[in-house]
Amino acid sequence: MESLGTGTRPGFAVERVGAGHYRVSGDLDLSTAGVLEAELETDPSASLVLDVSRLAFVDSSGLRVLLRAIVSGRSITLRAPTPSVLRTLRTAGVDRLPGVGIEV
Amino acid sequence: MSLALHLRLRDEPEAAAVARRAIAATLAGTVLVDVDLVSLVVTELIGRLSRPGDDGETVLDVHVDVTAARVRVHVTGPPRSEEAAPEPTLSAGWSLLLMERTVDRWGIDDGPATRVWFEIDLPAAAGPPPRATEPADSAPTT
Repeated sequence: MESLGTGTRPGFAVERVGAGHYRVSGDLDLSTAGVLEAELETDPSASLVLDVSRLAFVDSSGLRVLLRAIVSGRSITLRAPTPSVLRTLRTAGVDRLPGVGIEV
Repeated sequence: MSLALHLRLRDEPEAAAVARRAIAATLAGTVLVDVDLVSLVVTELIGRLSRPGDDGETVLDVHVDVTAARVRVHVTGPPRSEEAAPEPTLSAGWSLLLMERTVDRWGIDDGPATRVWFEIDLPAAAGPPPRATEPADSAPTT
């Protein structure tokens, strides 16, 4: 799939591969959450799809970015989370939030 | 058998990532320790305690005691003060939730510095249950 743009920080990248469709890789934490947030804020899509198969880590700062998108009235699908990321999502209850879909 | 990590981290946004790399390197091969879980909780605590821009530091201590069948972690930052306390945030609430749901014991020691500690029990196969005695400077919460 063609890349339409990329936001990066050391150890983190978010790549727009289509309308509302992103590939997220690396560690999503306090130091990188702003990169993803900036990308999602400027995307007008009502439904967001994040391929997180190469996301190695997410913390509460990353979860906050996802929730902000949901609160703004959009839905988010997280594709292929790693076991570690999936456990964090489930521990925090993100998988049970309305508007969130997880495709394992 | 025991393993220990002592790390002084400059208060900068990347401090948690530095800590995660050190934890992964130190605990590599210790199959009994849930490295991802330790890294997650340490990241949350560093995010809460460190104050990037203040030219301070956060100190991380990780101690794996297989005989006691537990991992004990201290994260020490500057003293808490009402003036410095940030407004409650959603991610702060999630930090607490993640810690509550994943560690076996945790607590906060206030003093000249703020020290948050937590313990994660190792699988039963690791050895005998944890000792009944606790270090004198800690106050486990249940």
